[in-house]
Amino acid sequence: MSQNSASFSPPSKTASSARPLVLEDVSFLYPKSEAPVLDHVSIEVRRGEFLGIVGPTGSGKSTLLSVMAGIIPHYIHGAMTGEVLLQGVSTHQLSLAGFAVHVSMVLQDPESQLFNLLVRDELVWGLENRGVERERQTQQLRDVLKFFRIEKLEERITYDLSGGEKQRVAIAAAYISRPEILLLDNPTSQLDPRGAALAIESIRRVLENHQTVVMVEDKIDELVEHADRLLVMDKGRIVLEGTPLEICRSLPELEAAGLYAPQVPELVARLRTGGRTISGEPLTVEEAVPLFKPVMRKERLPRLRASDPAPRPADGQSAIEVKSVLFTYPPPHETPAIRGVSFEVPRASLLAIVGQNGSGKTTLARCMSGYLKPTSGQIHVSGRDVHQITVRERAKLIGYVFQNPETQLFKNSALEDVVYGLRNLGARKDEADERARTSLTLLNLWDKRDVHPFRLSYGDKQRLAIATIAALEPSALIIDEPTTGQDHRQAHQTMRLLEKLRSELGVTVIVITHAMPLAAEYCDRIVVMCEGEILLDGPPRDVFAEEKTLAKTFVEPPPVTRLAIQLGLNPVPLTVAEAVDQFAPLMSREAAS
Amino acid sequence: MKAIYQYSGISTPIHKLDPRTKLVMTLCYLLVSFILPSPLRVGPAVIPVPFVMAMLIVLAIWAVLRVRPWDYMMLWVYLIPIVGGITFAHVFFLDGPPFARIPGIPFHHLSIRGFFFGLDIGFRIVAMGFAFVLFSMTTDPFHWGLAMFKAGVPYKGAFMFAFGMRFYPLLQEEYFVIRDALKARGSDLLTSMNPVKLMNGVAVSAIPLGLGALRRSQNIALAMELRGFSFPEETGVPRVLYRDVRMRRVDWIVVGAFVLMLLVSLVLRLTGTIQQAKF
Repeated sequence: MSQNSASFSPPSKTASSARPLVLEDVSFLYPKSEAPVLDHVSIEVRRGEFLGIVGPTGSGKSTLLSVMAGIIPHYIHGAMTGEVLLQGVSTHQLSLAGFAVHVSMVLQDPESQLFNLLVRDELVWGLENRGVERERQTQQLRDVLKFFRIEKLEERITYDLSGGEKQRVAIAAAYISRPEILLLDNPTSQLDPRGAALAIESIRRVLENHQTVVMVEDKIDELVEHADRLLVMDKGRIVLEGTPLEICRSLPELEAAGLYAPQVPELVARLRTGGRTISGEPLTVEEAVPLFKPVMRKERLPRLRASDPAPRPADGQSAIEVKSVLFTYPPPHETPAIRGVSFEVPRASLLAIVGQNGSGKTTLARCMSGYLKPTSGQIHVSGRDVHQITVRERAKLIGYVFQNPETQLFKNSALEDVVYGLRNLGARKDEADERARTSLTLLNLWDKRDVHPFRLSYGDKQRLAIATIAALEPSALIIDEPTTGQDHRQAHQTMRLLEKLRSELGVTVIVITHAMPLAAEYCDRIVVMCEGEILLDGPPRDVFAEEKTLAKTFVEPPPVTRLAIQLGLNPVPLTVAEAVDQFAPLMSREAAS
Repeated sequence: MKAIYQYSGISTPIHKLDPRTKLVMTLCYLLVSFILPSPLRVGPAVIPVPFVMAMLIVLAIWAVLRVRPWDYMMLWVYLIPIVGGITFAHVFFLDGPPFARIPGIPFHHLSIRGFFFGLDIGFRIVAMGFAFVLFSMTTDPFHWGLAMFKAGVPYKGAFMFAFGMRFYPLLQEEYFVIRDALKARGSDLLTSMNPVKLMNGVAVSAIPLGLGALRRSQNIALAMELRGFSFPEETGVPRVLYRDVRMRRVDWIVVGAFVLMLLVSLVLRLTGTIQQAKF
């Protein structure tokens, strides 16, 4: 590769140090695309600030981050106009490697950014590439291990780490060279609650060091607590800009952009619309509690209401029966993953299995679907032992949709993909076509039936993966993380479709999820797993009321539920609408302002 | 779950040896298994040398890595037809004292010598396979990559070799998900013992597996560039490696011992001190 000294001259120190990165009227069009992904975007990143960028899927926020990191135009090519200035130096005068000296980026998928075997090697790898002397590497390694409190991970193998540990190491690896700007692309979206907590803790530590941070998120909740400034993107443009408080006040604009406000500000706004007065502008549960306490009428607490009954099968039969299931992974690891679990899933119910990674929920789901044979115990689906039947019989009884839709799409069009499974099960062509049509229509994909599955958006791929299994009309359906990688609107759309499968087709649906507000809103039962055992099992209202027990698993109830718990309400609301119904009568219209 | 060949990540004296030492050990051991005559007569005993040497490695894997032979049952299942096939072929095609004659059909001469010779070849292949399993389970691929770099292989080539070893388990994991996803669609193509169905399954899974690998490798390549992978080549600033890879005294002692073992075997064989057992 040719050397280009001009590419690596450090950015000018005479440039305004208050604005290390400036984007001026930037537009970008991917090759073969018709609409620009970025449409005349201008941003000034201020030194030491935490800038959050939110927007629905496809709004252009990750592309914007790629521009800030120099990936566009140096690695991803397309038609770019406008100017990007890194400390006053144009992006065209810097190479990607030159950018990387000043700007570090943490990608969404922790798996894709750890490519060394040991954590220690991963951390120093960037320093090695930049020719940092060995003594300094040692010092910086020690510093970063201590700073992120990951000393114990130093000698660990990267692929043996949990998701949260991986992302923590990725953040540390990006931060070790002390970049001027740290870019984070959806760093918590693929993590379980514990993993997300670890990643957020690492980001907090970075912020304490007055680091300039730009973070992109699909959901606004993660950002309101920490960001100094928020940008809301929609269709390649910045549609809102302001402090988290200013953004949260703009509910109609947020909804127009396909975003939902965090629950607490939304609750406050709705209560105010209903004539209730709350002083202050709380963004989080912790901020809201002291503001709500004085204005809630104590004499009406608690307002008791019967807990939601767990649904029972109409015919008295369970769709799935799990009896004393124990599963231990084979040697040499011999890790007990499930420790004597028993429960029943009634027909036509929508159940969520939650818990942190390693709690055994996926192993349990795989046992239920017959992919793993329990070490002991039995699993019956519709009365039949799931491990005593053929692959075809099992596919008719219980469906399984994996987390990554791309590993389960095999054909050249959406329609062909749905037909494929039906034909495997012996359906005639006309029958298979008809059932595929029904399934695709149900999942709002009929218009895209001729599109190659890999050309669909991530949300559409996820729905197509569900359609391919739903078409087989199994009596039970297990879906691993149905809403990962989807924005709020898409996630609700997917959950509504699952609810439709349950209510209209009578399918028993089990979702493995980390999205507690969605589980609270749509599921009629929640099973919380911890270390291979069921910790809690019941209707969402009862499960989420057990905040202390849940804390063991890092599962957090939705914010409005937490607020109600902290205010001593029982039963607790699960959604903002329920919270408004419950809170409003307890607050007089003339409540103190 | 880790595959049998994956680096174990524990710390034993073998793990601590330089990869070059382990490579020399492996090569010497395998050469000895070829040099020593088999079956070898020692006093009244007749020793099938390649079989014994293959089993010694199995024991070494058990002792050093705590991986028992039945923990990799599937590997044995794959090896049995290979050993059996080679033995079967030699029974027909090698001369020697016959133990059976089937009149009226070609290749009726079933040779005892061929049987033992075939078994020897089969177990030499087994020894070779297990020796490399032991090597890969005790050698950090990046340590190996650095050793290659020290030996003159360009850094990017050596690093990508090591990374390939690191990347392969991820692909394998994805393959298992695809296999199960096919089962969820009522297809047992990737679990069938029918080779035609299996090939069909490989073809069907090629799309998600190939596209997944492509997407993942693109993301990884980008992540590498963001951490300055091309920085030394672009700027001329030399890369400074954190890890020091060098042969220690213990490495030289082990290399010496194994080379000596090879030479002794060679001398014994060439001087006729040890001879093949006669039938």
